[in-house]
Formats: sequence, structure tokens, C-alpha cells
Amino acid sequence: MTEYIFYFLSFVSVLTALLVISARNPVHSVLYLILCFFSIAGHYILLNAQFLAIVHIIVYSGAIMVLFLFVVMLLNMNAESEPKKPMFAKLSAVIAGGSLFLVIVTALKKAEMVPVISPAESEIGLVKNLGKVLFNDFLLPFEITSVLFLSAMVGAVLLGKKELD
Amino acid sequence: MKALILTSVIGIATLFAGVFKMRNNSVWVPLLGLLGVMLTIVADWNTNISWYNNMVRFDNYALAFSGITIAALIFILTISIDHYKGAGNSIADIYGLMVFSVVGAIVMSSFSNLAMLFIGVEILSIPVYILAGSNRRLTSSNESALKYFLMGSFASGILLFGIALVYGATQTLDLDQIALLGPTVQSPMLTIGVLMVLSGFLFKIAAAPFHFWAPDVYEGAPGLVTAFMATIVKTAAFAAFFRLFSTAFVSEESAWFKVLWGITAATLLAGNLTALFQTKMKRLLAYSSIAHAGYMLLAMLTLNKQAGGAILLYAASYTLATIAVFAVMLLVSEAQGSDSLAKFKGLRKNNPFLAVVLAIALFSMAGIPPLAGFFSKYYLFAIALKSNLFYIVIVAIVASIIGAWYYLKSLSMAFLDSDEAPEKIEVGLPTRIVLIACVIGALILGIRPDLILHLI
Repeated sequence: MTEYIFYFLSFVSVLTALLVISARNPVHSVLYLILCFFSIAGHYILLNAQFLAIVHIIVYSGAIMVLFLFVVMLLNMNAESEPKKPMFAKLSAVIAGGSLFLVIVTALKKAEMVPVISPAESEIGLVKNLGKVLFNDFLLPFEITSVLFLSAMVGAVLLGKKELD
Repeated sequence: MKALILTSVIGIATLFAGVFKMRNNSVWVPLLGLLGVMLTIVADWNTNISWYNNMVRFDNYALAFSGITIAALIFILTISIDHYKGAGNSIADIYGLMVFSVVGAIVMSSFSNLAMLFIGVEILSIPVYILAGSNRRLTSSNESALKYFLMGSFASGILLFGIALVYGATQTLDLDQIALLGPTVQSPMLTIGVLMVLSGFLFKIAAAPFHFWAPDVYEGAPGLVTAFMATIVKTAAFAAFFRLFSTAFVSEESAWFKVLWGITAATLLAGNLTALFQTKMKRLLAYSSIAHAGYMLLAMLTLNKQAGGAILLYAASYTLATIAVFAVMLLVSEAQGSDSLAKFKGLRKNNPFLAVVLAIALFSMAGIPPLAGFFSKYYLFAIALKSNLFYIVIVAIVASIIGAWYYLKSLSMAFLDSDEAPEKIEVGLPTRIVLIACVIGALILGIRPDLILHLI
């Protein structure tokens, strides 16, 4: 059963990810991206990582995607106003992306399957265990991230405020 | 660890200096605080303690590179006393962001866990994205910030993808564990992960062919921020790069050595050859910083942990020279309204002091004895030759001859006679102190390079 759900979710996430980049209308792109995020959240639940799944939905599908939608609407982008890209740029992008794709595919073909720890037994994704890991093993990275957020906030104020003098 | 905590606290204190409207006096908070951090670094010397489950290790390598970035920030802040005269209230925020960015630099030189590495890279980069756009009235500053942000985010994403693949292959983020497990893991996932981490770093240090963002970003950003990027960001990125690839990924050498060899040659040639055709000082310095990254990459190729000393010496001498050139450039471009090379014509006539400082700094960059730049290049080449990197050293020597050409060409501008010579430029006392300190530093490191070379 889990296997079928896994394949279904993988199919949906890859399909919607492809639709994100191929959709002509930016609003459709954003909507497909939300779908893609939901299916990835489904993968997290399969791995017994409920907390991560919920945070993923709240932060990405909720906050960030709504922000995205607003920006897309404010910019009033559509297929007609899309700038024409030169053929050369398109070609080089395809070659560059294609080579990365090829390298990863060949590498993963050679990779062997590692026996996976059964997610039912590992309860690492539960809030309790996650908290224990965050506040014991990863205490320093967790705390030092506050510097990052503080500087991002200061930056937002610095760039956004009116100049008084 | 003391340095890391204290620097974070100084950043917050600097923001408070802005709250209390200290305006131009707010610079003293980070300046005095960072001098205190330097003292803790000296006090911690030779302790080599790892903290919080081996998340960071403050060995001499970490302390030395933290020291260089903090010293560079002290110099930049001192110059800013003159440069930001009469700036508005937001000046304290700018200082605060610079200090926060250096927190990232300290993390990047001391990490021993890949999670810390990524957080360090982000703490270093995000304030710099904002600083690049801090001159909001200028379109070029906005463009520079946006370009840097977009490109930098992609690079961070690739770096993170690489870290994830390395974690997938080795099931650990700890550098010592990866070094231990690396040879036993046969998974191609590790190879790809290492290569992706490599690309992320090559972007951050602006090595060819990942260097196209650098000239535009350097040119658009406000002058002092460009000096910040050219010195602190580059030094920190190299500290992290070398720390990672000389310990954890050294067993994966077969995956990255040839790639890095090619990239080193490309960087040396692309940086120096393109710099020949620049007519603006800032762009010239951008290409020269790309070229200098190429020299430092030589040390990476030696696969030798001892090369850390050579990188440290190079970073120190490069930082001293770069800050001096930027300080002179800021003064001249402010007086002349542009940083094009033609504006330096006849600088010697009315400003002999600035011209001499420029000469010494550019000589040091070009690698002319007895200045620091010569010996730092010399040791890099020597250590590379010891590791049988014969061909790449030849490329590097050719590149440095090309480099000497454009340094001397722009210098000869300053010493030419010209009717449009700049008027006498007022040099404030703080800037004067920094310029003299840089010159003396370049001379001392030139005469006694062993002071730094055998530090770590």
C-alpha cells in the first residue's frame, strides 16, 4: 500500500514540477508549485516525519506561496509581456541543464540501494525527537541561525524604510 | 568560541547605537568591540577546543582566519569614519550588518560540521546582499544587490544539494567522520555531492567560469561594501574551502582534482587577461580579485594541510593591499566624481602621499619584492612545485606577468604629468592611519613572511 502511495506521490510531484516550468501563465506556475509542495509533504508523512510535513505546508504552501502569488499579480505578468529570450541563451541553458541531468542520472544508476531503516520504527520525525536533536546535537547551529534572521530583518528595514533625512 | 559570541553581541550593540541616535559616533561601538575580539583571539591561541558536539573547532587555523577578517573589518570601519560623514540614521544598521557578516566569516573558518558550514555561508552572504544595495538612490547599487542575491541564492542551493548528497552517502555531517568514512564509501552520490559543494564554493570565490557576476556586482555596490566583498567575503570563503577540502574531502581527490586544476588555470588566465582591458578602477580590482582567487586555488591543489599557512599569508597580504587601493580609490573617485582610470592621471602632482600608497599597494598586488605580495606568491608557487604541480605553476607565472602589466599600467597613470591632475584631496586622520598601517603591514610581511607563514 505504502509503495503505491509513494509512486503516486512521486508521479504527482515530478509532473507538477515539470508543469511549473512549462506553464505559460505565471499564476498557473505558482498553483502547480503549491501542488508540488503538497505532494512532497505527503512524502514526509510516509517517512513518519509529521512535523516536517506540517511545517512544510504552513511555511511553503502557506506563507511563501501566497507571497509569490501576490508578487506575480502585482507585476501583472502574462504570456504576452514575457520577454523573448534569444535562441542562443535557450540552447545553452538546455545544454547546461541537460549535462547536469545526465551526470546525476548516470551517477544514480551506479548507486546501490542502501537498506533503509524502516520509517515505522524510526520516530525521528516526531516533534519530541526532533526537539531533542535540535536542542542537544544541533544546539549551536540552531542558536546561531538567530544571527541570520536578525540580519535579514535589519536588512528588510534598511531597504524598506523611508529616508527621513 | 568567545570570538563568535562576542562578535554576535557586538552586532546587536551596534544596532542599539542606532536606536539611541548616536549617528556618526556609532562606529566606535563595533570598532572598540572588535578590538576586544582580537584580544580574545590572542588569548585563545593554541587552545584547540571543539564546542557543542564538534560543531565548531577553534584551532589555530580558525583563529588566524577569524583574526584576518576581523582586522579587515576594523580597517574598513576606520575608513568609513571619513567616508560616511554626514550619512543618515541608517548608518548604524550598515555597521551592524557588516559585523553580522563577520560572524558568518568566523563560523566559516571554524566549522567542523557541514550544517555549520551552510549556516556560516548564509550568515556571511545575506548581510552582504543587503549591503550591496544599501545605496538605494543609485540604480547600479540596486542592480548589484539583486544580481548578487539571485546568483548567490542559486549557489547556496547547489551547495546545499551537495551537502545533502554527501550526507546521503556517508550518513554524517561531521567533517572528521566524513574524512574517516570517505574512502570506504563507493557511492557515486558522494562524488556528485563533493562536486556540487565545489561548484558552490567556486561561485563564492568567483573562480572562472563562475565569475561573471563579480565585476557587475563589485562595480555597482558602494565602494566600502566592494572592499568588504573583495577582502572579508573572499578570505572567509577560502578559509572554509580549504578547511573542507584539505580534511573531509581529501580522500575524494580523484573526483575533484582534475576539475579544480582546469578551473585554476582558467581563473588565472581569465582574471588577468580580462583585467587588461578595463578602464575603470573598480572593475579592474574585480578582475584582479578573480585572478588572486586563482593563485589561492593553487594551494588547494597541493592536497597538503601545510598549505594553510601559505593561504593565510596570501590572504593577509592581499587584504592589506586591497584595502589600501580601495581607500585611495574612494578618495579619488569622490573628489573626481568617477573611478575611471583616467581620473588617476597626475595624482602624484598634488597628492604625493596617496600616489605613494597606491604605488606600494599595487606593487604588492603585482608581486614585486620586497613587498608582502611577492613572498606570498613565492610560497604558494614553492609549495605547489613541491607537490609536482609543474604545469599549473607555469600558467600562474605567466598570469602574474600579465598581472604586473596592468597593475603597473594603472600605476603609471598616477605618476604621469597631466594638466587635469586632481586637486589636493583632503585625507582624514582615520583614513591616513589605515593607509599607513596597510603600507607598514605590507612591508613587514614582505621582510618577515615567516611571522604569518608558520602561525598555523
